[in-house]
Amino acid sequence: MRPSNPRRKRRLPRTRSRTGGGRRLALGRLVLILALVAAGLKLVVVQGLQAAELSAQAARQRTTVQTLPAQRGTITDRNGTPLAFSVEARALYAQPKRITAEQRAAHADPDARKRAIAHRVAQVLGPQVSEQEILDQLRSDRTTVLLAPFVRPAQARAIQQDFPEISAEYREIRQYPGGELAANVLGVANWRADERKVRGLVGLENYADTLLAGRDGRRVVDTAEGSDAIIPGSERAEHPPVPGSGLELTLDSDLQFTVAQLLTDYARKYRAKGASVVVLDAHTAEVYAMANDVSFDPNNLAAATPQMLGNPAVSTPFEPGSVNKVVTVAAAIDSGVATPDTPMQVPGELRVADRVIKDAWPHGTLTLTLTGVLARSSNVGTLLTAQRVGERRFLDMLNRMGLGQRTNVGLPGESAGRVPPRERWSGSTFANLPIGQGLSMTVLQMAGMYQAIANDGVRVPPRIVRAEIAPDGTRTATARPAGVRVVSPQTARTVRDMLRAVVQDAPGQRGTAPEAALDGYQIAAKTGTAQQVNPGCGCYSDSSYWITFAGILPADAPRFVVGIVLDNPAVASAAPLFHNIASYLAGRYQIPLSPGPSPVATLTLH
Amino acid sequence: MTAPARATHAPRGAAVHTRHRDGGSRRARSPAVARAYARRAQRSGHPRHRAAGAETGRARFVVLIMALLALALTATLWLSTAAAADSYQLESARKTARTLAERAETLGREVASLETAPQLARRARELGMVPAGDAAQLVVRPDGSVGVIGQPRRVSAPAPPPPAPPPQPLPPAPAAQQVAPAGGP
Repeated sequence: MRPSNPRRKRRLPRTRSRTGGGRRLALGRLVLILALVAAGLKLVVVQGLQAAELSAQAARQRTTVQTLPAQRGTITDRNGTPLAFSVEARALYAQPKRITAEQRAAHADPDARKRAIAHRVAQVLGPQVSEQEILDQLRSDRTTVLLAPFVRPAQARAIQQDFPEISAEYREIRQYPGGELAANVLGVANWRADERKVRGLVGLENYADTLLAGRDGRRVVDTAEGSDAIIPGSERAEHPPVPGSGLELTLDSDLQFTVAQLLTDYARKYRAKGASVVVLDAHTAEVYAMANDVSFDPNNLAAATPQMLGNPAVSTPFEPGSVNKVVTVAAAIDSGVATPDTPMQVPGELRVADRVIKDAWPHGTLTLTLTGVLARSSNVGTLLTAQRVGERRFLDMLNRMGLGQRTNVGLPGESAGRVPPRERWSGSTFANLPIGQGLSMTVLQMAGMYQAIANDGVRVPPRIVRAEIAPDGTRTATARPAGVRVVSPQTARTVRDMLRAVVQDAPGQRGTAPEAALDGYQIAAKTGTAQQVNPGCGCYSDSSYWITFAGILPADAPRFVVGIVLDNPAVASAAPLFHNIASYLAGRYQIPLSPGPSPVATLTLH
Repeated sequence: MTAPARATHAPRGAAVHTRHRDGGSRRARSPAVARAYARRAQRSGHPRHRAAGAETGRARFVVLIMALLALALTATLWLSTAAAADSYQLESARKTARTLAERAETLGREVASLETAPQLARRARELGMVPAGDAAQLVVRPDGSVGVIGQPRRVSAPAPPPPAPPPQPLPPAPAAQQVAPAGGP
């Protein structure tokens, strides 16, 4: 009985409240079910319908894609001396408005803070910045100011340690330790703010940019909201950066410097408007030196004018003048229409179509050997020989010498020069081309012609990139281009021997350039003087000339070929310049002496 | 706890049932209620049926687990402390390595700049050197006599004026200014 009593008491109120309580319960249940259904629906919408969009939004909010910069490749000369390399740097930024706001919020003097920042920055960076300028920038009301564009990472850290509100950004500096050394060849690469990368602007840096630049890597990180703090362990999807390949050039920086110096001094001394020189290996046609009289310092690009950035040695063709006579002589020897000793009656002048061709010195009819025609640079004698060679064979020889075709040396802006096509020849064209007028070539092409003669008749297209150095240090030598047979080895040797007479200085048998001779070595060379075209009248000028020179050192066992061009200098010959270059080459590469002096060739028969 | 199987406790339930029947209120004690009472009885009566050996076994087990937990906790604490300490060391080593790498880069850059041809030429000029002119060479002829090829000449001392100021500051030049022997051998 006892247990049943309380039960009954309890049951009574429950029974009484059944009507109201039951309703409440039903209502509650309904509300709960509705809530559950609503939640379920929302779940379907969020998880199913909007899933992609929402997760993308979330990713946008928290993930940051970071670029992992690839280091640009180094350019070295043939001995491994660096000519251009990259170093990491930082750009320092400040946000003046934010500094002011933060200092005000902390009840401090914003200007005192800014003065302190300016002082510290100037103290760390030294004389490359001015404290006052930095302070002016900080006091400006701009959102972001660039305090210093290129700062060493250690300096940036030192400043940031004291002033965390200064932000540092990755930069890369391209350094050219040699300054003007080979600058026309290398060109320049500089930092591009839009690409956030160093890109080549001109020269080889621009031409081989893809190879040098490498490929930037990327990684995705999660960052805490509203800050750059990376959540540890959140790095993922990492593409490692691929550093750029290096280039090993065929240039020898010591020779390059000396040759450039000699050329610049010579060009300045004789007030030439321009000057270029090229030194080629006689057998491989590797470019050992390529210099112009004007250059620029790639480390100080602001001071360079557009004219200084170019490389006239490959971009500016000129009319070669008598240097081109080697084409006629080589064709004559190769085809057998003449021998070096063939005597020739050379009159004082020769009429071809509407033109009268004279020699550089007045004379009556002379008896010259073919060697004499070359060594004394007789225009009339050359034209008489050319007429015996014939137009077809002459043009064929021009082509085989590589004229009118780019050498593909590996530098941008290369000119092919110009050889008039045969169908456009006028009556006097064949009176011009053999003596080096009416066609144009670059100094590189000119040196290439003599390289063929030096290399026993095989012309190798010149190259300036010797090897590519992969990021892992693997060296891949540049493929050597196939040589072009220009003349037979015998012809090449004969022409080389004939060219020795140009520098000979025997009584009554004087060549045009005895100043180019070098004691102990046999030199094969050719001088040239070409009238420049007067743009005013479209005719040849009688006052401005191209002075050219091509030489082979030594003639008996060729090692180097030198090509020189001077734009209207106050001197008639570049022979002394060649002499100085040859003298340096002989010493630097310890070229063995020739077995004896060149035998005296008979130029004029009396 | 093992669920009380109805069959096992049937006799006890039956006894209760009988008692209630004696009490005359049969309706008050439904079989479910009887089972609940039975369960309560079993709950309170159960430990008494345990053996004393099982009691000590469980105590030992609990102590062992606690000891293990304590050990694990200590180990975790110690390891995380050590890891934190190591990470500081790592960070400082990384910083040192970075500083050294940057220093090496700076020095390498300086060396590269100093050993370039223009800088060497400038330094040589500062030391009073002048570029050698044409070299004269000694040649031993087949008959044993020695001949001179070229003319040994003294090079004129005044070097060409320096074309441009140096692009980078250099360490001070050595005090000894020596003049190179001019001319060939």
